[in-house]
Amino acid sequence: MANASPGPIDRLIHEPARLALMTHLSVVEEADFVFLQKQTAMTPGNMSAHLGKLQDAEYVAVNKTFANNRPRTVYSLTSAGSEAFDAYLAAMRSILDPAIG
Amino acid sequence: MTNTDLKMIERATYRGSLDDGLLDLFVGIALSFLGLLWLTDYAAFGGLAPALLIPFWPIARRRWVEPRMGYALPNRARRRKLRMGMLTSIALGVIALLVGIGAYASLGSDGFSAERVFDQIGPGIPAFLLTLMGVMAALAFDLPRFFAYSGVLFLAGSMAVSFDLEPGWSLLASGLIVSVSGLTMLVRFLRSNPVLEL
Repeated sequence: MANASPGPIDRLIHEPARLALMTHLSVVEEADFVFLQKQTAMTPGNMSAHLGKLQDAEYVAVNKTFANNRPRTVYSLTSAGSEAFDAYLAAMRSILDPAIG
Repeated sequence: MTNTDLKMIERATYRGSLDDGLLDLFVGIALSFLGLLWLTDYAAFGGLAPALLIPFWPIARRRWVEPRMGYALPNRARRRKLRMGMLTSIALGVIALLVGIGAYASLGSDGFSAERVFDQIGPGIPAFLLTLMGVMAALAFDLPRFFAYSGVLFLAGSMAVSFDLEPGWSLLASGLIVSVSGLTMLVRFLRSNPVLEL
């Protein structure tokens, strides 16, 4: 039985640390560094590096705001990042669903 | 990862953001304060409790929770659900109050006296009304433990009816129980989540 070829896997998202970041950013509107670090249990340096790569790909946007007169830096998925994440999930499902049955 | 998995992650993330106990502590303090006002014949000022406490909740979260858990804005669907839930909770509370007042004001035929019924369950009415709002809050905030708090309120209201106590006692007792629960959660949260050094 021939299966349709799965879509390309986005290697940028496929890396486990970046997949965790993208997943957590996909379920909130925006989040700060501490929140993401708490959710992913990464070291600050490691997480900064991965966030940087996602920013370079314009999947993640950084917004520097103020909350109660204190600076706050928040991260959010861009529309390109959201579409890329949806495409990644679709590609993974197309591989896994037939295999799992 | 399916859409269901993402919903579960969103729900776990959202619920986790309210596991610090602050909300419970503030609700408990508000209930206790309301109970004290009732017992000292100042029940008319009951609205002061939430009005005074609500502004402190975001301040307390920024001071104690965000340095440990960080900050995240729930997604639009969640925020819409929260808004609708809170409005529904308040509306149901007001409707229940109006229905109660209307039923009390009307006297039935055939010897049925709404007044007698309300005299009997009167001590529990404030707690019963808050039980209803608590259930709605549990649904609105998607926090199952608020169902338990509603159960405590209902039980306290029932005991007030059974022993013909002042309504304020049921509110005070419920408030203290919820406060202790919130404080316990907060202490556990503070111990388990040190401030992250970046």
